[in-house]
Amino acid sequence: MVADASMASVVGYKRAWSRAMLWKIRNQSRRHGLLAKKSNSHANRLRKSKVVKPKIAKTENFDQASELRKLVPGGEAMEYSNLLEETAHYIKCLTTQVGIFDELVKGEIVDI
Amino acid sequence: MSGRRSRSRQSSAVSRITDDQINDLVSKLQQLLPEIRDRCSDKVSAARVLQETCNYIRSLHREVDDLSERLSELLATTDTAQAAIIRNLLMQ
Repeated sequence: MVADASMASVVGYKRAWSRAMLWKIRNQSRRHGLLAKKSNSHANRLRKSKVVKPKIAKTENFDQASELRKLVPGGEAMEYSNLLEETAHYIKCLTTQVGIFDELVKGEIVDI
Repeated sequence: MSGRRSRSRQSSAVSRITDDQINDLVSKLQQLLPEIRDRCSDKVSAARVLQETCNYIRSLHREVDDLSERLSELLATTDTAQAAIIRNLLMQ
């Protein structure tokens, strides 16, 4: 999805969710043979910063949190408090993206 | 199941996040949700905030998909210079 790729690349490596998204997109590209190079420093940097699964899971609000983890990229591996922070940032980016696309669509319709 | 008191004695590998910090993060999320923010000024349960957050993210995803599709259609059929520029930008 082009929209996801552009949103994630703007945020870059600053956020766990964008790192997870970039990592996924890069893996998909590699599977389709678009990236021939084996060692890619870009990908290595992503791999190193990938979050490790937390050993102790907070059991409070477990069901809702597990649902949220599936919606936020990289959410499965995050600590609960990280998940909440990442979600807030992710939502801000999504709403910004919606605003931009909305403007683009309106612009296209009006300026014929 | 470890109680609240034992949390501070957990291994040093786990960072000490307090309940207050969690509550703070949850209310920050609450502020982003149009449903709750506009209707309830009182504190809402964390479970409710998480539920609404999931709903909100799903609806945002739907909006992005819908707008992307509309934009693709418009860009495919519109012949202006603007359309060409936007097409180019999005295809990077």
